[in-house]
Amino acid sequence: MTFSSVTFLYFFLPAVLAIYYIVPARLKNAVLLLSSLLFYFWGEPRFAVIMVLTALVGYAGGMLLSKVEKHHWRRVVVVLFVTLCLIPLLLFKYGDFFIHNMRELFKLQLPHLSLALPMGVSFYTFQIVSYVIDVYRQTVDVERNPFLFVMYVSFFPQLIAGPIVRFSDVQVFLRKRITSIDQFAAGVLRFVTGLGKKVLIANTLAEFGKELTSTPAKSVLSLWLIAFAFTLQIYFDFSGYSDMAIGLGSMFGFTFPENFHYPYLSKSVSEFWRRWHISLGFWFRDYVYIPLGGNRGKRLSRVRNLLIVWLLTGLWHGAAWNFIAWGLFYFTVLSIERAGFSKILDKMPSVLRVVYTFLIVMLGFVLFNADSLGEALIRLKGMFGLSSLPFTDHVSLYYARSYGFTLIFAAVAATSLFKTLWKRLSERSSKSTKYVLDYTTVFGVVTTMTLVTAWLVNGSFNPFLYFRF
Amino acid sequence: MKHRSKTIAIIFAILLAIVPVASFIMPDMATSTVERRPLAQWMSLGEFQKENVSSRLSDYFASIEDYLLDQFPLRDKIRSISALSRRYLLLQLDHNQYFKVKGHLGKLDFNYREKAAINAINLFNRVYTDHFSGGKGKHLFALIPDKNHYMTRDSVYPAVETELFMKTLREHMNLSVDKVSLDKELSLDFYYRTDPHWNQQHLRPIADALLSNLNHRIRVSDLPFEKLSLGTFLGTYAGQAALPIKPDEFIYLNHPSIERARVYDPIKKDESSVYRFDKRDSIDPYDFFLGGARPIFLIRNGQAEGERKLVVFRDSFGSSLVPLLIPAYGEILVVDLRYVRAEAIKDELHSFFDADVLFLYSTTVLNAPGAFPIS
Repeated sequence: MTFSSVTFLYFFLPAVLAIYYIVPARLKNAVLLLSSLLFYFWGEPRFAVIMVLTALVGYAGGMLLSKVEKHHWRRVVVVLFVTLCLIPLLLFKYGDFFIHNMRELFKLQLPHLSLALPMGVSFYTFQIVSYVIDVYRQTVDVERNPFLFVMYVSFFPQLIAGPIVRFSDVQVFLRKRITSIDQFAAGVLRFVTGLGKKVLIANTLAEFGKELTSTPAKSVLSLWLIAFAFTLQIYFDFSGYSDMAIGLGSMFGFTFPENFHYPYLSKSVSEFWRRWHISLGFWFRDYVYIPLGGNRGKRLSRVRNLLIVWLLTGLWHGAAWNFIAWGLFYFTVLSIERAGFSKILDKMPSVLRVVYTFLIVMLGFVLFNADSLGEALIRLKGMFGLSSLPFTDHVSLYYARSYGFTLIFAAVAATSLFKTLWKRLSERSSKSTKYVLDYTTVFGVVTTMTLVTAWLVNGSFNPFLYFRF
Repeated sequence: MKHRSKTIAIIFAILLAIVPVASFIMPDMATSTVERRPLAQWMSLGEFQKENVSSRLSDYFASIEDYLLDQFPLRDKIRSISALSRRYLLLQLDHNQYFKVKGHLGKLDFNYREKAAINAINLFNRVYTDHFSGGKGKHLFALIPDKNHYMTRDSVYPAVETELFMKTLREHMNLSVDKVSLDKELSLDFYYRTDPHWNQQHLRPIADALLSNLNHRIRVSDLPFEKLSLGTFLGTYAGQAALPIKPDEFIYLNHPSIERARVYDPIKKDESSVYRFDKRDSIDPYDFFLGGARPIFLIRNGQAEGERKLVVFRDSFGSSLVPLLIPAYGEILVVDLRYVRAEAIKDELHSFFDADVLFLYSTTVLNAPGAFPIS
């Protein structure tokens, strides 16, 4: 079940909201736990067991750490339980990648595991690992109630595509939360915004990309259009999902961390990674980069730390060489920026810096979006006119015209323009104008929900990109 | 702030509640008339597992999602909202690849799949060589352009050039078979507005062109055909596109020889009329013409002048055209090679060895991979 499905929108969500607000406070967590398990069970019943078991391993790790006092033994426990928590992720996500490469490298006759990937395994594993490490570091109190801990891990708004909510972010809300009408309405607005971003914009861009990709006749223009559309699509897809998660959390009285902050307005690639998938960036910073030494130490160790982080970031996104190449690509670009290019950037006009960052990110997504590294390189060659493709073709021009408005709208909507305009209007308006703005908001909710429903019923293209991670 | 928040919360609650309530109240539909397909029905887990023996629980949940989508209240009207918003809000030129130009609905297809066309032609060659090579009749291949050929002229919409098919035909089809393209004889007005097929009421000049190429002296245009209407007709494109369009009128041409003719099905061993009034209200009203898709049947017309016989290898376009050829031939054997192997009907084909042979195919079918078995 996805948030942008009729089943979720019109059957699961209303039922859960109704029961949640009807039952007394002491039963609310039970409602959330059971509904979260049903949500995951609906997608793939057998993987629900793996998710719960991994959560219980994390819980046990926390409990044990709370009892062990000696530093040496605490280290052993944390390494052991982090390793145990990582096993499902390593097995399901990277098992076949490892076997395939062993077979290729050493001509070994190892059989493939052919395991399906449990939904959201990368997200919930990172949440559990962060909890175990935080308990070890004593930056978070141990959770003694296993049901509450499983509820934290399985809480459906953030379970399958983030943001990566740390235990410390929600520990307070798990025990006590106040749900006000203002917070609920804010949650509705955020959820509907995310839904619109996902269904109306990201899915339309996905259709556009799919049409161009499936056309045998390629041109330089079509390859640039595919890259441009995907760059916008992945933003609206993933940030839309994060908006929905944050909005749903708010409806149930939780406050989740932000995951995106207009990344395509970044003036450098370093800044981009502070605005894109923020919860993942912070995770790698706090649990990999800083423990490795971070920015401290000699130049060579700083480079090594950065390399490890970006290799892991690439691998986190997928068990394939093109994702590793994508990670290495960012390692290279960020190293160049750190080596002094950022100082040159600082002297350039803001517009040029934004364009530079967007171009780099877009080229990175060519690696990310390809089925293999070889295909990515073919596309990149084509984009730069190195593979004797025509500059343009009739089909690309047709699709560029057909989806032109969506592309322009998406590009503008990826900036903060609409938000800034709305904010200024709200601040400067008279009382009567504010009334109009309020009703415009309500009209926006109704219109977005109607359009989303119509598009879903029409059976439009609807996969979440980040489900595969 | 409180008032605004309350309004938003109440509106959202109403929106969420309205669909499950309506779903509960409204009865489930068996089929979608506009999409011409059966709709998913509710099944208990036991029923589902009985029908899908090796299925998993997640498959059952997926089937429930399909059911809820198919049985969504006011589904067809809601799909129209999607089509209209894409057209007028996002300014998209097509919806689900369907587009509306010059008052007609069309479906985008701009990739020429030469391999598929060559595969079909190789099959035709084999059938021709095995069963008709050396026969006394006239042998003809007539190509029907897709309606996109006319719709996309002078527009931004891409389409496959009909000439590419003719080029492939000239290069690969047996030399003893004459090849003609009907692109000059046809125009957009010959096609239904809401369907990919041509409209029988305009086809007499096409029948004449074919008869002329088959060296036949009869001209259908000279015969007294009666135009009759069966009311409105919404073709396959109308349902898929979900765009507003004026329905077509379902008109057919009648002639005493058509009324007298009998259609014999050698596989089912039954006999029927040329025009199937029993199919008029079926899921595809186009089946009115000769019962729609069938592997083989024989039309007998005892009243024809002379004893000339004809074999037509055809796709669905042939269904509405073949009736117009009935006055010109004593017997017409109609074969759809997508549904029957020539070897399986060799006796029937053998009895038409000296007959005229007409391969009547649209570019749409020639361009469809998998339409014919790999030859």
